Amino acid sequence: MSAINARGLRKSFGATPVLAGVDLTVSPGEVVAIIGPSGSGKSTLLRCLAGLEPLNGGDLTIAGVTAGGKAPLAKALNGRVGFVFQAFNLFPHRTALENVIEGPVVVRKAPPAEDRAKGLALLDKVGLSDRADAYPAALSGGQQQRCAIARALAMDPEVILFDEPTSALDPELVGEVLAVIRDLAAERRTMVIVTHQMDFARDVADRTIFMDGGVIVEQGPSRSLLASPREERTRRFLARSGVLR
Amino acid sequence: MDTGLDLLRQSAPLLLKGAGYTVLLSIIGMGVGVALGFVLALMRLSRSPLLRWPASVYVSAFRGTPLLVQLFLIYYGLPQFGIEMPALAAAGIGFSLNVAAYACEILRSAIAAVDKGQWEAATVLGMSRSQTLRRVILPQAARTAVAPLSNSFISLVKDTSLAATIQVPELFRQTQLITARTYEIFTMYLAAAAIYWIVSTVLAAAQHRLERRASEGRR
Repeated sequence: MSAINARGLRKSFGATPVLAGVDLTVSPGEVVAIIGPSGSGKSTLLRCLAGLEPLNGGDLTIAGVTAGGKAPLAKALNGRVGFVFQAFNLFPHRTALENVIEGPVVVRKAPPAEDRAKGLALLDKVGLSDRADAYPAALSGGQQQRCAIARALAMDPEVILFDEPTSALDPELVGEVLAVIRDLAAERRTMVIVTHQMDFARDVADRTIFMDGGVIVEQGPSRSLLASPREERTRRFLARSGVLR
Repeated sequence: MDTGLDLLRQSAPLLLKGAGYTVLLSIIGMGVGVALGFVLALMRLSRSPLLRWPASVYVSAFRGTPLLVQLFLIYYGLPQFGIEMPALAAAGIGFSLNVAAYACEILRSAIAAVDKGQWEAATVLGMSRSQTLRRVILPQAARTAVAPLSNSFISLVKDTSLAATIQVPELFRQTQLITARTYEIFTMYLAAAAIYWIVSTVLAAAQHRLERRASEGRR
């Protein structure tokens, strides 16, 4: 069974169509990168997949949950789809460790001692075990984003969605976050990553999707799509991004 | 001057008793008012117009009419319908209802000011609306609300002097009674002003400490 199965997804903001019929299938263990110019609908697609935006049309099944049921999609997913935001969105009134265990404590109602141990292990995994008691304001952007990734992992998600996870970071902090995502890819975690980091997409994603104007223009194995796209629009975008000459 | 000091010494017990009522009314008005204001704020933020609408009308009515008129309606007006109560109770209810309208708007805007990303981060963790409100949004909103709520509190301390008009023996009323006897008008009202000032200053200092505590460890 697919981790994500989307057919004909449509979404408009007012009269403006943002997704104009998107089909997307992602297999378990697959890492997919989505690239495209700003306004192409890639972030909206990701937000629809997580249930952060209600769909206007189409069929979606993700992590075994079908959208359009009685409960809103995000609630029905119950944390089974992790989401990493461009702006981190850590809870500022909670420490790094408290941020990580907030989901398990509140939603899964697991015993606190277990959560604490698991939270510390996850912080260790993202290289933050020494900052467990720091508040987000005391962390660098890169540390905040790594903490946010640990928070997503704490729910044992079947799929993790990354919405431009390094776009808000100073250039020298991008590497440490990408390294964490790379580790997750090596564990064969199912991930969809909206990114502007073309090198990263090529190295880490099994497949890269190019979106423009609310539709998927082209997709294929990352290496071949980024080196020799079939579509003219893809070629022009990659040329503008400095990937193709 | 000598007589002034003597008079102050003699009046001190009455003034302090009045100040006691002033503080009591302030605390009741603020406590009940904020609790009620919180309920109203949740109603105004609700998705249901059946909850939003009455809360909006309430806020508009209580903010849009003088507190003095509200007190008169409660104390002198309600007995016409058989609802009689002691002056102190009428004042406590009046101040609470009035504070609630302002507290509602303060809390509503503080909740609305919390970044949308905080709701989204909680939502993708699977938290319900009420869990998100309780664990994520309110602790952050409380921090924003402390300063304007303290302002309301200080205003309320001074507004309790209006209770004198419905015969509550609070500070201003006591001062009026003393001056009626002694004609030491300036001295006595100056003394009353000083007591209001002291109470407000203590509250302002408490506000500072509360604000510092609310922002501990953050930003």
